[in-house]
Amino acid sequence: MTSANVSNLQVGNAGDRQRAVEVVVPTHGRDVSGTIAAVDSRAASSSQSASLVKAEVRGLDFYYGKFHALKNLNLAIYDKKITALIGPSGCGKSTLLRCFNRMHDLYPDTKYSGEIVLHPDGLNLVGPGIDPITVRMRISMVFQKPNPFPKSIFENVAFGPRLRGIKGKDALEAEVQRALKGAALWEECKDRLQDNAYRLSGGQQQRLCIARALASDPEVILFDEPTSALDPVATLRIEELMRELREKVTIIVVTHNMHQASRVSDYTAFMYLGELVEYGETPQIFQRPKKTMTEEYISGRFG
Amino acid sequence: MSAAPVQSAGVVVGRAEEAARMVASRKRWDRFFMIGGAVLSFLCIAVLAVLVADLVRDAWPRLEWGFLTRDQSNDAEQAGIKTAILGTGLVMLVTAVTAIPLGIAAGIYLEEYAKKNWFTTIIEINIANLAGVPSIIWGLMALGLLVYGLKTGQSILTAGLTLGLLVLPIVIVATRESIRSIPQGIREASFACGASRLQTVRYHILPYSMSGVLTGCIIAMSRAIGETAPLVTIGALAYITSVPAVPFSEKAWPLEAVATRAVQVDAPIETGASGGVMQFRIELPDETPGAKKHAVVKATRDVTIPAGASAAQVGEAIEATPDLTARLDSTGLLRVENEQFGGIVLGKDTSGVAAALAMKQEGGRHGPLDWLSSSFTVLPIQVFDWVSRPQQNFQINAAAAGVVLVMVTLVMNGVAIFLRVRLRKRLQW
Ligand SMILES: Nc1ncnc2c1ncn2[C@@H]1O[C@H](COP(=O)(O)OP(=O)(O)O)[C@@H](O)[C@H]1O
Ligand SMILES: [Mg+2]
Repeated sequence: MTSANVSNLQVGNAGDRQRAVEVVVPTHGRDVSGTIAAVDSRAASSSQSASLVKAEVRGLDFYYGKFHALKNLNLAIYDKKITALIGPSGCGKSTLLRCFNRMHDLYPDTKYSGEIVLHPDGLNLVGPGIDPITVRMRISMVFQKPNPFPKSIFENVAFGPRLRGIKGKDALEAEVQRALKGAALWEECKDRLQDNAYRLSGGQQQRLCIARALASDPEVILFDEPTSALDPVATLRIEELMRELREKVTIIVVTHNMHQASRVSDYTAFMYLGELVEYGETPQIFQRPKKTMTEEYISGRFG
Repeated sequence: MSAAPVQSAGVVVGRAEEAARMVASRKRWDRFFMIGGAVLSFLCIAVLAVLVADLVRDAWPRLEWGFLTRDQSNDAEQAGIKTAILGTGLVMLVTAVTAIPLGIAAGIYLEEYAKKNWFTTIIEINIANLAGVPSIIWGLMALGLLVYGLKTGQSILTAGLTLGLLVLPIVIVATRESIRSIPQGIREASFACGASRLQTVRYHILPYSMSGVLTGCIIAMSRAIGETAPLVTIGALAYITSVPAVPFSEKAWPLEAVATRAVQVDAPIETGASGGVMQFRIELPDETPGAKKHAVVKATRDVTIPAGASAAQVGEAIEATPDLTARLDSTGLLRVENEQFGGIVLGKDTSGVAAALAMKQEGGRHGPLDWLSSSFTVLPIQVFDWVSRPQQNFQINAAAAGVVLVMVTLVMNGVAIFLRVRLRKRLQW
């Protein structure tokens, strides 16, 4: 049933870490229930080429104890694109995002069912036998409130590489520099790498957290309302940065801010009460929503 | 028409007055509490200062370096607290080595690993309760479990373990509080980077909770250092002439058992070794037995016993010493007797003597951990012992040892405060 819609999964070059699966979707994203809400990229004028799928959410349910927080979600996350999750507070955006790196495993009494398949190798991220650490090694996260470690800037960024067994000053320095450059923070702090991270401004701290996420060389980065604690200028810088990062990684971003979603993202998923209401290319969602509920939400009539 | 503004202005005036009244009343209360609080705080500090000053004044004649480095003696002016300081140091070492790693590990386990279920709830309630158990109960527990059960004796090890258990809850609680103050976001960040639970603890939880943990450890130690009751219960001695077995030092005569029994009848025996010969120095009090506890020494007698002496030979040697007679009593104990002070018991069948001789013949050195089984005294017990003596001179000693104890605890608390301030400054979230 699920493979009916996402067909002809074509595996790219073996050994290429960044490869993904090409998806040929014959129709528009259909109704959410039961099928994968994939977007027909050829039909959409704005997209340049056929998009590759990086991850597929298939029939995902999630429970906090008895509370059914995510209900039969199906959607495809496109490779090297930014997918925004929007919806009113409490609709399950963060919950869905945190399924991708198994953050829920840290807490008792949580349950996943269904699949999140990470391409190209088809790893089921929420599979019962899959170690959350192997998942988090490939998918990193940036949180709502900047949460650097109370250590030096250098140590913050070096943590991921250290966990991956990178030793030696030179190798670590190279990793740190690459990540800080990737997060557009290198110029500002190359002379103060030994300073405590908490001496940075809020926006810089958040970019440091992005650098920390980048240092793990992830395939996907999850952003949970990354700018909600920042001022407008810092927010713009982070948004700019996300556009740049799209060259290298797949991004899923939860946002409360409708303008942010429309400015930054390529695809937008609108969620309501744990269900996926509508999913499509961002211009389509914002200009020609198919569901009245989506339209009401983005026009600010509720939420 | 013009009445309305006047009326409303009147209302405004009324409100302003009322507000001013309320503010004034609140200010009065503020001042009242401020002054009251200042007076009370001052009183507390004043009382403390008076107590300490009084103690220092009492102790003044003994407050010199020699007091810290002299051995024990029955002469108050010659007595020092070297053995008590050594004993306190070594007992604290055992306490720290047991309570700190165990307490931190338990705290980490309860905060970071344990799932919330009835089992961990019971553990948590028990830890809270243990912190409130009177220390004498710990002494009784140690007496039954360690001294009689595990046969660890009246040793430094027993004392250290007892105090370690006593302060374990303090370390656990401090560790947990400190860990709980770390924001969950830090943990999530670490896990999101791909760290395991152990790595998260090792690289984040432990370092960030260090200031609180260290503070808790020091508070635990300063609590332990002043504990007297449990050590009395397990049989700490007030009067110790031998220092604990120094690692790798040459073995001395293990005559503590002998000396212990001698002390019980108020005739201190000093023992020493020279070549293959064992010597007792028996100090003869000048008063009749039981009349006074700590009598002034009148005469000493040296008893020389050749190596490998049998019980009979020991007896003969004692007999040959002026004023002393020796006999095996009906229970098989070797009794040394003197007309003036009566008898002291040296040991059953002279087994202590025989064992000592055998060991001396073996020669050899102490192992690195032999000091653990040495008997000991500690500062508070030394204070307690001196205070209970009738002579005024010993009261001075007691006050001086008390000053040392107060200084040690003050320094420890100072270090705790310093650490908290210093390490906290680097941590902010
Ligand atoms: N740890 C939790 N335990 C129980 N319920 C939770 C927990 N976290 C979130 N929820 C519930 O799950 C729903 C979705 O929450 P969330 O994913 O945080 O929403 P949002 O879309 O605002 O990010 C909400 O109804 C919330 O109350
Ligand atoms: Mg959220």
